[in-house]
Amino acid sequence: MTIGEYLKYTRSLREMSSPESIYDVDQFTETLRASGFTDVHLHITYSTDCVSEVVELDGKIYLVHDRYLGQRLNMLNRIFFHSTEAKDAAMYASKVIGERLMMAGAHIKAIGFFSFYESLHEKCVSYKQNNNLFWRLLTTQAQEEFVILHELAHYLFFSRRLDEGLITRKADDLRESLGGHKNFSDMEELFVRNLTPGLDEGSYIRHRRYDPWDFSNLDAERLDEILRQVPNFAEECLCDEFAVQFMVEKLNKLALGTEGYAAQLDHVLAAVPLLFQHVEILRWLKKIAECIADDSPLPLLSDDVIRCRVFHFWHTLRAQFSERLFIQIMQRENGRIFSEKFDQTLRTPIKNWVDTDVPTLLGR
Amino acid sequence: MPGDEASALHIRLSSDNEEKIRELALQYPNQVTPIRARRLEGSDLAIEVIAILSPALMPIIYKVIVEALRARQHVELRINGIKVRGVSEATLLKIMEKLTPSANRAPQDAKSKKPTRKVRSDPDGGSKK
Repeated sequence: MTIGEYLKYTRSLREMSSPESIYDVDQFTETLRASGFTDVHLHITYSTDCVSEVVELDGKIYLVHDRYLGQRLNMLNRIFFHSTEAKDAAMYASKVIGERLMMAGAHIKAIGFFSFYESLHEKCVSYKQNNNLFWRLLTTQAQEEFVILHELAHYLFFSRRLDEGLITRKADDLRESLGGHKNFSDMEELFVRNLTPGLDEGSYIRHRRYDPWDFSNLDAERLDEILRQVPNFAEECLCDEFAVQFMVEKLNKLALGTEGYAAQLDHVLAAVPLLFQHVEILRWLKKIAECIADDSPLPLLSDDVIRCRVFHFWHTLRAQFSERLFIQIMQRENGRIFSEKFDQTLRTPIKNWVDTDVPTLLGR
Repeated sequence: MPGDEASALHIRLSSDNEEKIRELALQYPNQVTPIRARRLEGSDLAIEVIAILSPALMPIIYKVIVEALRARQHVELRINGIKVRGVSEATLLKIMEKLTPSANRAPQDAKSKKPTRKVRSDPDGGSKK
């Protein structure tokens, strides 16, 4: 099977090529070549599935990146950075749900969501503001780059250029790192306090008050369960680690010693937990669409697996950790209220739409 | 996807089915392609396979999926990129019935570009407007 056939069979492709994206893939390929990955070829898709992946077919390994995923991330960043109105989140979520419903074959239900999206789209303006443009673009670029690098790390495992023994060691390391701690929250607090001794109690409490990722219900037992039940969880964590290290090294080569270096590094690193938040939201919207398609109860916004990876990311960052970065990430993660905003804004309307027949919706 | 092309099933199963899928791939090398994939958001299902359907392969694929369902395993199914909702024995039967006409060809033809005669119009054909 060729990669072209595989992509055709597994995706609702919009086009094989795509419009310009914020992220410069050609430049990225150059970076890869310069880093010694001369044989890695990036296949670009533009599909409603939004799936970037590494896939092995008949013994050949392919790296696929979906530019529509990049567009989704940029839109979520737009809402995160600029939006001042809750309806912006509802507007975009209804589009994502509509597309997912189309993919689940529930076309009639999808029409309701697209109709709602259309009715809101004209009215939503706040997310279109371009203040903070530089930082938003930097964030989207960093996130898209992280996605490709994460997949590249899988590619290196597949092609045995990274030792698979690392994966077993990572699983052991994850289990061990929790030893003696009640739960992740307890541990996170300890290392944040140790690494940011300069931070006064007031700032600490102010930044922690939302407990953005709520690690308190994640403990050694749950982690062990995830390691056993979720295939390749340790490998996913390792690939996150590889991606972050690659990004830091790339930035070091480009900007170390320059005036804007520290701020850029912070933004690049803080973009990653925000990406996980976006991934969590997109997964949740996908589940919502599947539940609507099946007429089953709507799911809650909670994903232990993603939260475990965020926790692992915190750990990975220990070497780069600073009070400055801590505050940056906390400010970003306070944006988790943003995901709650999605939840609160959407739950009631979704229930209404599901209960309303399509002609009524279209007649609105 | 035009109706005269073979339908492809993208099946995701739990790791219990690894051996079964490996054997099928040996038996039907042109139609059954096991794939190994990693995606950013991860997956709960470890085994993935693309099956290009032919009348000979269809009952065998049906059996694999039904056995997984009866063992209360999670199964994910896509036909030509469109996800099948609520995979069950009943929905699977309907799918197989619908796909039969368009898959009425010799297994070796699965990859051939030569158009095959349609017995009757394909109700879905995987086409999407």
